Amino acid sequence: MHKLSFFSILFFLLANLTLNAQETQAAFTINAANKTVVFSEIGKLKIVGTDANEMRISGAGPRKRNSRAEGLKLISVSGLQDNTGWGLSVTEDGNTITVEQVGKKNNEYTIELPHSAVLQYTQSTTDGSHFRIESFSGEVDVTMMYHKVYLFDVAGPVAVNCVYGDIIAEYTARPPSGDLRLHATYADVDLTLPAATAANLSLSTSYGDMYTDFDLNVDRGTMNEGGKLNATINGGGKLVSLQSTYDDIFIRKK
Amino acid sequence: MNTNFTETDLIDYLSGELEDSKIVALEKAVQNDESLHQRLEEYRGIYGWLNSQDKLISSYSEDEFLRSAAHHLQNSSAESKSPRLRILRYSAIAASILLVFSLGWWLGGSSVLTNTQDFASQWEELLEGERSSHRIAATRLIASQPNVDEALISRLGILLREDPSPNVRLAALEALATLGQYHYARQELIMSLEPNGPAAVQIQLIEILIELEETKILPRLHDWSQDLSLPQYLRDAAELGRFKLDKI
Repeated sequence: MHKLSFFSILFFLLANLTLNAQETQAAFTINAANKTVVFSEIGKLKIVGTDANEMRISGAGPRKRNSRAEGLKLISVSGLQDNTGWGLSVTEDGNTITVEQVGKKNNEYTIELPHSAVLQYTQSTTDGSHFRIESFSGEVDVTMMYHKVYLFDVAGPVAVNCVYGDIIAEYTARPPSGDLRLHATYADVDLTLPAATAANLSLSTSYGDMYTDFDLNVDRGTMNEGGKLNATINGGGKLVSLQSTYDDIFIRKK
Repeated sequence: MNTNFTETDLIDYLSGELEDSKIVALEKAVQNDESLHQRLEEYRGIYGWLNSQDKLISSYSEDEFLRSAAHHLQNSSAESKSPRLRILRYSAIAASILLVFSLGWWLGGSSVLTNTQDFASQWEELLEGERSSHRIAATRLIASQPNVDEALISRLGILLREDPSPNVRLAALEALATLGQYHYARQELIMSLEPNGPAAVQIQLIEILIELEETKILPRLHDWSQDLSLPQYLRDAAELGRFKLDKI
């Protein structure tokens, strides 16, 4: 019995001293209406559109934090400081807000972003994980090196490039209202659109295949050996440009 | 006949701007109401025709536009109404579409502009835009012109090499590749082949120069494939490019 109590107390102490203690945290907010918000090198990020004017940063799960850092501010070698309480640096310069990760702990963030904002995202390292955007009506400009990009009901205009990760976009409620440009180098591009979507398609792959269940009205005058196909669906409309240089393209009906 | 949906609703639906709550109701109503279905198809035909035009709506005078729309619809419709009534109706619909779209057409991402008087100022304004979507639109606008001069090609080259957004650079690259028949465009592409810049752009640029069979880049690709100071992805792309060009 005494031995059991001793181990129970020891476990309790270790749990409190663990280097990655997890805790809850109040959300950080800043007015981002009609501004350009630049996200750079952030671990695991999910953006969700909001009608509010404020950008709201919170965690998708409990935040990883070193319990020894209680009362201290996280800093980085590049001089960034955690001014959000979430391991992120948020700075504002004119009409641009820049959000950067401070430190190396890959926390998982959910950020609510006003529909009137312009979203720019860059991830160039193997750190972190996939990037996800949901139900956002603003402009999107994403550059990703290694991870996947998921877009769900992102009205656009949207431009995404990704070297090694798939780009998966799905429109359930309505088609994109702006031009949609998805470019993957060594990975798939997979797009799902409502069946009634009217669009001008520009599909291109040099070494992959293309698949669809839409009825394409192919512009035969632009067909070439470079793996590029121009076509319309449902009479034509916004530009949908899909390119996967070395892999496959999928365009599906919802 | 279903009277709950206005012409504006149908146009908004086709352009993807109808409220979510109305989309489901409209689609259900279309399935059950043949007259509504026919109205929607009429609008879809006009909308598709508008999008297939080589000229932006704003470059037409209203009279020209209506005459053109009426001509198209007279030839394309299979309805049994009198031709005069049909043309009048379609012209009215086309006019309403014109009014709805004329203001937001360009910034909404429309495709082409060829009015020569407005062209220079419009692409200049787009190129200087803060938003990457505007600069991307400028690249499409330039590439769509029947004749492109050296100065415009040079601007595309600058975008390809210097724009802060890799997606704009990719759009400029695509535009220059489309203009590959121009000597200057090829020069800009070759000049842009440098061992720095966004990965997706560098790899795609090598691919395009291979498609254009630009064997002049072979020595550079050879050097890059051997240069251990360069990132692995670039050495791999250079090695692959060298292999492909060697076979030409």
